[in-house]
Amino acid sequence: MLFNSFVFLFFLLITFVIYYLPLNIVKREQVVLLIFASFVFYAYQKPILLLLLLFSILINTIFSYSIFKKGQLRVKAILLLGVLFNLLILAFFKYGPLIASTIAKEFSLKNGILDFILTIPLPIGISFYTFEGISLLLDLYSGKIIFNEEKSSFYTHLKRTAFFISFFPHLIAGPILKAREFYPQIDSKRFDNILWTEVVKKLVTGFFLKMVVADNLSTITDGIRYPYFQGFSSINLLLLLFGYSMQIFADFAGYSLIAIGLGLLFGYELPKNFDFPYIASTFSEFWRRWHISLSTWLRDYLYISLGGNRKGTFRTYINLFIVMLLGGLWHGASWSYAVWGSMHGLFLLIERFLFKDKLSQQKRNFIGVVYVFSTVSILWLLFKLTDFSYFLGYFKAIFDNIHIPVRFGIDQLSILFYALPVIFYHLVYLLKNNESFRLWFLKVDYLGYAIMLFLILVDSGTQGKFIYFQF
Amino acid sequence: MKKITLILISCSIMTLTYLFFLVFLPLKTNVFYTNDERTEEYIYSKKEFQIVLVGSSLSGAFEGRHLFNQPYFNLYLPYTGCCTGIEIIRLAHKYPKYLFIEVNHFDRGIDSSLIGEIFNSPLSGFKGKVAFLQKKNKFFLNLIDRIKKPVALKTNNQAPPQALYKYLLAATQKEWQSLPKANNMQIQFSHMTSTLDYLAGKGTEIVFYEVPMDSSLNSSNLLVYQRRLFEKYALKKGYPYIHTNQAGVFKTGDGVHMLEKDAERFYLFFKTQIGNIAGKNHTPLE
Repeated sequence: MLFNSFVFLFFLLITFVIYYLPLNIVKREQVVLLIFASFVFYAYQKPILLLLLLFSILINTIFSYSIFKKGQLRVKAILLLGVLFNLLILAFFKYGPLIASTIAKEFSLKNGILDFILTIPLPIGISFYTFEGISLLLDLYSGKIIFNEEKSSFYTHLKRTAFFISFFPHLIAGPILKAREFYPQIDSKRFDNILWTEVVKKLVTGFFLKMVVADNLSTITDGIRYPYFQGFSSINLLLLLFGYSMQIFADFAGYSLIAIGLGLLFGYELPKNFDFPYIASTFSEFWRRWHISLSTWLRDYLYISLGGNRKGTFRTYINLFIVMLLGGLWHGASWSYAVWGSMHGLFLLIERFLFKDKLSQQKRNFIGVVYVFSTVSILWLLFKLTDFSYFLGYFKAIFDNIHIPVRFGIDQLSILFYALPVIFYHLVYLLKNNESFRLWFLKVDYLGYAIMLFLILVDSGTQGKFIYFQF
Repeated sequence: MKKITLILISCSIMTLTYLFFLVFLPLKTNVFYTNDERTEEYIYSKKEFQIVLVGSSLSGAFEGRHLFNQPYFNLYLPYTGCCTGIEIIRLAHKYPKYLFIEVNHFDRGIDSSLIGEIFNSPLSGFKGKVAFLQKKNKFFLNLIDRIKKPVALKTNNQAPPQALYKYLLAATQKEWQSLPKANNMQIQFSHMTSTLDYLAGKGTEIVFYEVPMDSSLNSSNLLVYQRRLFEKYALKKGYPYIHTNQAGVFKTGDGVHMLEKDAERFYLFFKTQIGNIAGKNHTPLE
């Protein structure tokens, strides 16, 4: 179910009304209601995929409950088994087809099992909910969540785990929740406590970024397709790249803001996922601002587990590179994502090598912002052109097509127009450091939200799926 | 809550102002950039179009050209074809006096997602009255059109780089050599002919036409199959059919879309053919 569809609006309205009904049974079972709604939300398009989600919830509940009940004995073994189970699910459903196709191609093999693996559908949101399952196990193991022994029956734990993993605002494309941040929030919620202004701000900004900016840009950036891009002039190719960079931000940041707004509507605070990433002037700053829930997950549960920066400089570099490579592969079952992650890893290593411990003290500078933005935008192409030779072909075309006349029609103007809100969005953030601007902005910010709402009504693009759904 | 009220009031004022602007100072244009825009214009326009062309992007070659002495609507729909156009006319209940049908991309059938979005959306019922809901009235688009005079999507002046041209031509040749499942084509054809019978019952006169493509495709399996299907039907019903085999050879940019100079040449040929049909049938087409 898409957030930007009428079906979802109807679904949300019904869920919301029932959730806050002033009846004792509803107040008692608010969580169960949201679990049920989340299952409906998930199963709407392909009901069969719900089975895997249910299976994942059940297994994670059993493992985490065992960790919680076993004291220190055998806990590590249970933890390892639980994590392994999550990784196996992810590997089989997400990477099975990639591995099978690589084996079939490299060894010219053809057999029934490989063919079967190649036909496995990718369960939507699997990368997100398996990471959340791992977060639950690791947080329980490290004592970052403490349950009340008396209140924690298996049923209660099952209910909470099902809710943590399946809560519909974050289920399909995040933000990725950490158990230690979400479990303490699970409680009965009241209508009076809804932070309406925050909800409206998040939803309006989120829907604006998705429906106006991303959906309008997506029809234009569709030109980045092999072999059609070969027919564009160099300037047009660069403009398309710029447009795609704006689109991918608006699409994913928009989704995350909608998810956070919906969470607040039901009384839950989901973690921030974007913090104006295109003002970053170093790659490490970029990763503190882009897809924060993933980068902090990778930092907390993978980088630190690998030893982080505690085992010497060389090992730090290796750890960083491994984390970025796996982070890249997390995005999709294609070698282009591995290349994308590795390139980001490489740029992080170079930065760390050049600036050593002074990296965090680096002041923001314009050249740095342009460098990071340009490099990041170039690398986004790997999301669009997943065949590496096409990716290289795009750059060849930029150099080869200088003689082709530049087109400056409706598409090119549209890219500039729809990029403006994203640029403005980042500029406002920078200007907010100025106290007098901040105070003035607080007085008139309602106008900004009103304009966004107006544009949602009069300028929405053709409804499209969220880019991060595929991950 | 005060802030939310302010947001809602400001948004309502902006929306009403924009609506006022659209109703009293509409942008007079015949340029529509997407299939949704073109379809909505056909449905919600207050004009009664006596002559309508339906087809694929190939019929885009007529965009901005003076084909008839009275206004006509070119309902060409890239990525789909005549079946979708005919279905739109049926569902919109706006029946033209003359319907020109491009046969080249009959094989693409009906674009159900376009039809669904236009006719089955909860907003469909309001689009006629609330102009800003129509895609052609999107705010930025309107703004851009006012800054820069809207220009019809012109055919290309020159072919793309050689490597790309060869790749596209080869892909097109491959596409046109293969035949879709005959059963599906028959179902599609019988659905279309029943719609045409319905339109004929409403007084619509039908003319079929082909748009020239690369000469290597003239005898391609798909084109020949479709041509035979339509010729047989046209003969049975007595509908005119405009062939292109007498028109000469045309240069394209990708195997299917003519380059500007050739499109101009074909337009002149097509005009003559219309004149002939009009002369024979004593219709007011000329």
